[in-house]
Amino acid sequence: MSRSIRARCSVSVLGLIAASWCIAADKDLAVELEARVSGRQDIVHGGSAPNSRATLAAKAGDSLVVQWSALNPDKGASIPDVTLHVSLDRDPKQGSDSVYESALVMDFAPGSRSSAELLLPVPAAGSYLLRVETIGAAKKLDREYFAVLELKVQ
Amino acid sequence: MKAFYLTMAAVFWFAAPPFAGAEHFDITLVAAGPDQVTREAYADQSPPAAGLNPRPVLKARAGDDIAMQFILTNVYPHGSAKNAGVHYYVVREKDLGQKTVPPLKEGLILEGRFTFDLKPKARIGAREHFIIRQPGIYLLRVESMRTQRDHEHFSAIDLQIQ
Repeated sequence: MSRSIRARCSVSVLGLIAASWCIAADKDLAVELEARVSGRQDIVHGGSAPNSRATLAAKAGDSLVVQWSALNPDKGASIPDVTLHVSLDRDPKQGSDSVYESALVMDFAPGSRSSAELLLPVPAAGSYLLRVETIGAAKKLDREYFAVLELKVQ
Repeated sequence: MKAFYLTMAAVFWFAAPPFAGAEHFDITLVAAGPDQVTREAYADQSPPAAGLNPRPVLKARAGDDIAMQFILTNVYPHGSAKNAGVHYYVVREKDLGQKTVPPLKEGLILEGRFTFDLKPKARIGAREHFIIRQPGIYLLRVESMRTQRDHEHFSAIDLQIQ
C-alpha cells in the first residue's frame, strides 16, 4: 500500500473493513475486494452471492480505501484478454450516478496477479454498490467472476 | 452499470489516440468542471519530473463536481512488462505550473495505484467524480510505473479552485 494511503489509514484507530470474495479451486480466477473507511470500528464480511452482500457504513467526506486483486492460481493455463472492471455506482433505485469506474485488460499467465489500491472521497449520502468483475474470462473458463459490497453513506 | 461499462468500452476500443509518434504510451487525460468546461492533456515523459509540456489549467469553485478520466495505451509493439503500474492522484500544490511534483503526504484528494502485467496495446483507464472543498491549486496527474524502461510517461492538468 502506498505511503499516502497508509498514512490515511493510520489516522483511524480501527478501520472499518468489508470484504467480498469469490475464491474457487484451481483453474478459476480468484477475485478479492476490500474496502475500509477511517473512523469506523465495525467489521463486515460477506460472500459474492446477492443475499450475503457485505455492507459498509460511511459518512460523506470520509476517505474510502479500496483494494482489489485478481489472481490466476492455475499452474498451467493462461487466461487471455480479461478485462477487470471496477465501479462505484449509486444504487439504481436512487438514480444511476457513477462515482468511479476503471477498467484494464490483461493476459493472466499462470500465477499472475493484478491489483489496485484506491483512495476515494466518500460521495454524497445514499446507497452505492462497489463491484469488481471480470469481462472476458468466460471465453476460457465458462464463467465470469465478481465481488461486490454495498456502501451506505449518511 | 452496463451502460457505463459500454461507454468505457467504446472509449477504450474505438477512440483514436490523439497522437502516437515514437512514444511508448499514449495518454489522454481529461478534467471536466461545471458548465461542461473541459481541459485535456496528453503524454509527456519523466524525467524531468514535470515533463516538457505546459499543463492546462481547469478553473472551478470549491464544492463543484469535477470529473476526471484517463486512458493509457501501450503503443510500443514489444512493450511487455510484468508488474507494471499506473498511478494517479489529485494533490495540492503551491503554484500553477510548478516544476516539482508535490509529496502526497498532505493535501491528497484522491489516489489510485494499479499493478498488472503490461502487454502490447494494453489499455487501462479510469473515470472518477470528486469534489474539492478547499480553494487552492491542485495537481491532477496520471503516470506509468515500473515499465522497465529508462523513463516513464505521464499526463497532468492543474486545477485552480477558487
